[in-house]
Amino acid sequence: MHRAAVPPRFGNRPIAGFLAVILFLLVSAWCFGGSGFSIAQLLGSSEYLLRFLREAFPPIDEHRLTFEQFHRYWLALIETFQMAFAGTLLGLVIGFILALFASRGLMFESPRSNLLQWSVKMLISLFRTVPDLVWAIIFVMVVGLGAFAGTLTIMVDTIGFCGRFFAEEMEDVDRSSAEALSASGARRFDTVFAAVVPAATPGLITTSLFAFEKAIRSSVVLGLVGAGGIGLELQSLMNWMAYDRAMVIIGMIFVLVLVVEQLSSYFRKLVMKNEQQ
Amino acid sequence: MAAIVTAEDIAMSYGNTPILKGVSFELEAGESLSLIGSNGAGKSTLIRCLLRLEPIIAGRISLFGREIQNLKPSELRSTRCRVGVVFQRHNLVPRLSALSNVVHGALGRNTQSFGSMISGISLWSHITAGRVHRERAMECLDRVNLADLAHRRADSLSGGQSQRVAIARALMQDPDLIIADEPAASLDPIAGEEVMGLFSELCREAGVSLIFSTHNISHAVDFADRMMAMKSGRISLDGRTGSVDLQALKAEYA
Ligand SMILES: Nc1ncnc2c1ncn2[C@@H]1O[C@H](COP(=O)(O)OP(=O)(O)OP(=O)(O)O)[C@@H](O)[C@H]1O
Ligand SMILES: [Mg+2]
Repeated sequence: MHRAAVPPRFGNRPIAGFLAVILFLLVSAWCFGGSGFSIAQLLGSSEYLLRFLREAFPPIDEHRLTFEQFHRYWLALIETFQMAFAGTLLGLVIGFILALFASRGLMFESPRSNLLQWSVKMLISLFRTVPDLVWAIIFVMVVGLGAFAGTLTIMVDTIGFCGRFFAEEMEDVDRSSAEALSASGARRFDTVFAAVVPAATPGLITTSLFAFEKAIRSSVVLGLVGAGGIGLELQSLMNWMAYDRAMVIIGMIFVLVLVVEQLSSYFRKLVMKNEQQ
Repeated sequence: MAAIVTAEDIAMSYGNTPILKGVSFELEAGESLSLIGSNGAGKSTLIRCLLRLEPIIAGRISLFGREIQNLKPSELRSTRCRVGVVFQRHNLVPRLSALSNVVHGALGRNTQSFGSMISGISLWSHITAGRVHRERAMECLDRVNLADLAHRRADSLSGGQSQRVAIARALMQDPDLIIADEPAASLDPIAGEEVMGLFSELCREAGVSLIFSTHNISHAVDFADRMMAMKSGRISLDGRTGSVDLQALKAEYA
């Protein structure tokens, strides 16, 4: 009877596999060394954590949180949502347009258009790689404190995110139906919107929903640098060590993010189900 | 009668591998031509060259008396829109309805002016298309007996139904020539027979010329007036279907 030989553990290049593992362990050790991670320090500071928790959850006392205060936080929360929604919408539209040109061989197909495609891709990367807090600081400087700066930040962030993933989704679409249309005389522009975009739609919707979730999370912290929303309230309360009211805001943020994430995953499932019928 | 397709000694290669090595033929208006030959003989490549989906490196190709190699993009489009195209599969946009896919057949018509650019946008889907186009698309679906599936998504259709929708889209173009690359190859024998029958019937009715490739000799015999066999990038046999004897055909596949 013929019996198959057991293959070696690291394929046919045992030395390379072994070295890869060693390298990974060395890099990990090096990074933990630099990260200042320390169990002792974490345990030693439990006193401060306890103090924060004690002051954050005081005995119930209606004088601590007035209705006026709560109303103000509520308005700030609404503003956060509005900033995230408006910014995402603008970012989706602009990101989609840029993605059309960043997508390989989609709108044009010539050596010269490669340069255009590359430039648009780089522009999108620039939007994506500069962190949102940095954009927020820039926009606060340009348009001043408030929600508008936050909306612009969310927009730029969304362009960076959606520009990249929209382009990849459209690149992944099977081009044969687009080719069949162009073989029958359709313009390139029409084949993109009649054949490629419809085929990419489920992916585009899913990505948009993820973008909105991301925008909600980042719009919360934008207030820290003065770009509108509830983050500003949170920061000032933390500065005054009003941990109890800070906790109220953290709770509100938690609920907002949770609701948006649940809704977004509900819609994503709806899209999936529609595709499987 | 004037030839509507003329290929003169065309050569084509993928990289350094020559695929077509001097192919010449003419097709008269109203003629139906089958292309046979073993795998890799170059049938699909020839078809793609005729549509200028691949560039040729030597020779000349004319469609309707215009040499397609040197056409400007807009002229190429207006030539292409007179040719209906059906590939072996993946012809349709999967997430759109059968009706929308048929409406797409009108995209190639008169794309020259600015006004037509706007009306082109309305043809991306049947929802936005004008009444004339929607009605015409329904007529075309009806001619392939699929009017009752107009709103079914293309990816929920069977192979045979998809190919019939592709034929309806070709009819929507009101073409003078239909070129099909193994249109029945992914279908079962009965659906394949149906699709081929539809082609030859519609072409005969409307006086449309037809070129199709196939591995099914009986399709070639039953549905075309003329037969052309290819062998490693050359035409090895070309004649009226009735006059080609089956022994010679078997030899072409050897
Ligand atoms: N995109 C491509 N790149 C490189 N070579 C290709 C490409 N497409 C086809 N070829 C080669 O060209 C030759 C002819 O292929 P072609 O598809 O025209 O044959 P065919 O007659 O249509 O065969 P089949 O009956 O299998 O469809 C084959 O040798 C194939 O490997
Ligand atoms: Mg082929």
